[in-house]
Amino acid sequence: MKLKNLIFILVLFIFIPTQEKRDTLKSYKKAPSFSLYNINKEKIYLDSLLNKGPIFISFWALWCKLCIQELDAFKKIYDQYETLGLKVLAISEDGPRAVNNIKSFVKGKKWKYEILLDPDGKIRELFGVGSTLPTSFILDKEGNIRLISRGYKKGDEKKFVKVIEEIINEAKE
Amino acid sequence: MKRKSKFVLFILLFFYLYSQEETPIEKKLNLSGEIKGEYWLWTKENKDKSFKFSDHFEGKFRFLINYENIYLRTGIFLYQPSLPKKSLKEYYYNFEYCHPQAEFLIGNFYQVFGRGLTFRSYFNEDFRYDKVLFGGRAILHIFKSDILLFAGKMKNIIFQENKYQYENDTTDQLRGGEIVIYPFPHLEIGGRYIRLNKEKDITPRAFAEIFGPSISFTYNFFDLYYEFCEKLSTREVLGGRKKGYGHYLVTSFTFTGFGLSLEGMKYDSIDFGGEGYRYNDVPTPSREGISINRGRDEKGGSISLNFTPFDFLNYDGSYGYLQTYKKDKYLKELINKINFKKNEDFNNTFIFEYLQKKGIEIKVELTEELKFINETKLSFNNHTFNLEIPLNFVSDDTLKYKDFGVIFEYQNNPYFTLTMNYQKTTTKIPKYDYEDKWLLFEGTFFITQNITWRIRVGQERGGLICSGGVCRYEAPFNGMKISLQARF
Repeated sequence: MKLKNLIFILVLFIFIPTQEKRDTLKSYKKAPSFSLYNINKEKIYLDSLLNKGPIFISFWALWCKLCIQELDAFKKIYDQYETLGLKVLAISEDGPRAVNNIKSFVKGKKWKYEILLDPDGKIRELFGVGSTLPTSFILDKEGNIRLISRGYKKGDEKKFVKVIEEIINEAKE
Repeated sequence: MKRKSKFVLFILLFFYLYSQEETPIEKKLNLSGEIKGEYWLWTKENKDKSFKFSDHFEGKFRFLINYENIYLRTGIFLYQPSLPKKSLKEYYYNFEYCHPQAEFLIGNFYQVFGRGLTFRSYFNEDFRYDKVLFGGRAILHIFKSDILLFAGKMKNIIFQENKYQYENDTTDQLRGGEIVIYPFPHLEIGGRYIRLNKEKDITPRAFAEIFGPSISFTYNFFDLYYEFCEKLSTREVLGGRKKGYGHYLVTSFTFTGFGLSLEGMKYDSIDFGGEGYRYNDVPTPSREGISINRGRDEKGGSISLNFTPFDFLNYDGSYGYLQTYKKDKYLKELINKINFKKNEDFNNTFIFEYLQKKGIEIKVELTEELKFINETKLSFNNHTFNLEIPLNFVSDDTLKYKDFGVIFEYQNNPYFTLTMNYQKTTTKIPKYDYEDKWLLFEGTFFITQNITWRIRVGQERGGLICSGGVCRYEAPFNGMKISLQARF
């Protein structure tokens, strides 16, 4: 057998699923692991935030009106569920020259979220956000993506709350 | 088995298995991407009053495969593929290995040094501006420092006068490095160097270099960043080394509910690139991204304030000033935004802006604008209504006129958004080809969470648009634009 055919068959075998039985309804895609600096220049690792509660990740930028509306609207949800373990990672897609403006804007807005900087858009690319801002994700305690929301429209808060409550209730069970 | 059928079988099987159940390898595998197609059809009036139809097609595909520390990216950008003289076809691909201590990349990439005084390669999709490098890059993260080295060639693609074109000499060779040291938790010291060699030129002016240090300090409510750069190139005609300098300082004071940011800049002959294009992009104090000479001869500053005295009230304002050394060209920009939010269902923003531009636009020497905008947002159930009313008092040299309009938007969550935009001036304006009214309708339909379809029909006035210190002229438009975008 030619070497090429052997490689071809080997590659196919790698992708053949394992035989363990799974509950396909609860099979969610895992969020990619990442680390980023926050506005205080501390490195934040996604993995270190897992197993504590739901995580809301929002990709935003200073110039994006809808992103700011979404994060403003999320303040109430955060205040309500913060004690139940909810974490918010607001990942800024502004370039490196906006760092100081981001900090003064965020403080002025009274946002209590963890503001992370993704100046080269690497994490945005990893999450498949593309060019649509805001794009938000809700992760469960294991880091599975439970919700993807592209853009922001009034009323999106309801679907965020529904998923956050689901995750919190699962943890209680 | 034939090679073609083997390939097709492999792809089909791969996607079938990927969509079914997770293998141990697949758990660590991450695939993402985006496909976008855009088609425009518009008319233009000729001098003999007859109409000419023109069209535009562009397509884009980007795909990422990530497995643990390995990244493989591929993509293609197509513009007018059926018209050989106008068409543009760009392939993007790279291979990257990212380890916590070291990163290596071969292929296309983007890179920014510091705040962009020495080097800035980036992509801005909305602005249709791409400064992509092709080459290699290595980064080491060791001993409380980051060390970066790269070498490559750049393609600077810009959309101007309704077509994509290369702005730079794509054979220019770029090499450089950056080191950033973190000696203490709140301190960051950086240094960078870039050199440019021109392949098509063998004279001494074919070589230029730009370099400089930076310092950054962050402690609690206080932030400071200062960057300096020096450029060495060759004097035109006279010969000998020509020196240029650039200073950039930004500082901020932040407390809960209060953020103040101050910025200052002084640039003298640090335009790094060639005639009409730059490999660096100096920061501008203008929120609208307007620049004057792009680092050749500019000084200015800005002050920004964001303040939330009460939960229902937010103030966001800035004042920016930029001028040439002789003050023959300048920009003054004042922006005040007051946002009042009664509850999540009612939101009102009042904006007051003052703008003065001298020597920046081609067709007008001095422009003065006094603009008032009121934006009201009202929501109930799945329905949201936005009403924006701008009123602008404009003075273009000796011509004085009012520029006003109404923008109405209806959102039906989560299915679609409809917008109507009407703009009118009280007189016919030369810089807008003697037009005085523009009406535009736009619909955005969210077919699924990942697929968006957008249609736009009507007139757009065009003019000078800027982003991050780069400006370009957008041609007036009268026609239809359709785009379809899918992400996965």
